[in-house]
Amino acid sequence: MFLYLYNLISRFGTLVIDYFFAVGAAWLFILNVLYKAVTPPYRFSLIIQQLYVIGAQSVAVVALVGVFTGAVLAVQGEYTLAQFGATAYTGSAIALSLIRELGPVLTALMVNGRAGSAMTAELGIMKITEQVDALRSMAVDPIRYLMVPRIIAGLISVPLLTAIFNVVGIAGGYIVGVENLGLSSGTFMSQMIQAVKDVDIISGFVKSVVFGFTFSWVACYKGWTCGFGAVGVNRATTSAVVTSAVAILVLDYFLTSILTNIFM
Amino acid sequence: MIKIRDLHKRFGEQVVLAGANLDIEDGSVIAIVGPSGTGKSVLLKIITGLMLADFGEVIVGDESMTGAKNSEERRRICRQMGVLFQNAALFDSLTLFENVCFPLDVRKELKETEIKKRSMHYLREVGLRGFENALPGEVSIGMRKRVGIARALVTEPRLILFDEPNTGLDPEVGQEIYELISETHKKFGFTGIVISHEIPEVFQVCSRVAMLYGGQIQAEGTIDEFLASNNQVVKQFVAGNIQGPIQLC
Repeated sequence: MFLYLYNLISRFGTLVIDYFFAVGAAWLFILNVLYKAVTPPYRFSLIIQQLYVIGAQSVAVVALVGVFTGAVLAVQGEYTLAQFGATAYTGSAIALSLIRELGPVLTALMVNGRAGSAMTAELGIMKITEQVDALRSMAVDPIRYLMVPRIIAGLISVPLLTAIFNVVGIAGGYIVGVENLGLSSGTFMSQMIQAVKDVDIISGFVKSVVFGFTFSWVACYKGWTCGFGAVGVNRATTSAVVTSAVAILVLDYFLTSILTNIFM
Repeated sequence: MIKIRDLHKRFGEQVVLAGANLDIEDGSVIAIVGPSGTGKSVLLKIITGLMLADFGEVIVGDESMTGAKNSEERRRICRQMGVLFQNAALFDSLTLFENVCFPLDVRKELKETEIKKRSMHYLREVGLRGFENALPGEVSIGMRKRVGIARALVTEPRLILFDEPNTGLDPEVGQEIYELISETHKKFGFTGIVISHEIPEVFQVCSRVAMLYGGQIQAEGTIDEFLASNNQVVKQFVAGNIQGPIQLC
């Protein structure tokens, strides 16, 4: 009995230590990246290259998801608001939902699924095939060369993609609301313009910056600490996507609470 | 001269290097041989500064790699070296030509036209003219190793390390790689360290041989001296016997 309890406590203690060790390592990693991001030499060409990979190549999928999200919001919004005789507010409901909440969250989740997983897999493969060692042997700092451009590109890309998502989503909602459901075009637009305030846009922007930073941090860290072989890359990629997605949703709640308190 | 002095390295309970000592003359090629899992690649990583030793010293020329105060100093010493990794470790997203240009590009010491000219020269030296625009994934492992050699040569380093240069190659292509190492050494005169477990094949590229086992250099000398060694570990390794002091992993 005593031995059983001892083993149980010992195992629990190991888990707690491992957890804090992992969290500490992730923080040390990002502090190292941030220090190297603000000190020379700067590699702008690599940042532009990653902006293309993470940002430009994600435009199509983000726009596609955006247009259908807006369309669904129009149908659901019109159905719900009709029960209160308030279909005139469909435009404002769509715009506020997208700008404050769905735009940043869904964009970050889509970019995480498309570019985050690819980042982790690429970095993991580079690590297990000694490409990271090759960089070091050529006197190139892999943190500066691989991590800094990806994290900065993630930070810039997600807010820009969120803006595209919002615009396309509102357009999708407008088309379905006005053309299919017969809402008044003028009412749709005027209600939307009246309802959306600067603070809503700032709130969405802050969220998208935080989400962009979070997903690229997790993706880079998981690739950097990837285990050996195909199994290691597989685990790291799965873990990166799941961790980022959970982190984005958890952060969304806290950010919403904080930003609402600040701006209301 | 490269000097390895009393090098120690352990991973947890496993002792990999336990006081390894070795001197390598400038301009010579030495093969460091030994059974798989005896720490040859760890030794290579410590020499190149990719791994830190627990104790001991590696001196490259007149600078101490293990005594480097920070990563910046280590990187400066690294610039005197070129490395051919086991699987060439080419960058997948770059073409073969861009891979060869890479070490010069990041140094920013030469003009772009000079970088391209020199990279093309070394790509031709390893017999890969016409494959400049291919990606590493589109060519054979033998060709990738050739590009790896060109990439190691392009900065014209004083020391080149070859980690198991014919791993994953069929005997014919492996022979070609050894011949390429010999030819380039004769032409460019670098100091070479070849890590291998393949004897006698590796003897064709080196003038001296050292055997690493039990964390220490068991024997070192010319090929003839090595083959005539009375060390029981060396004798067993050379004869390829299963019975003897070498404990197989």
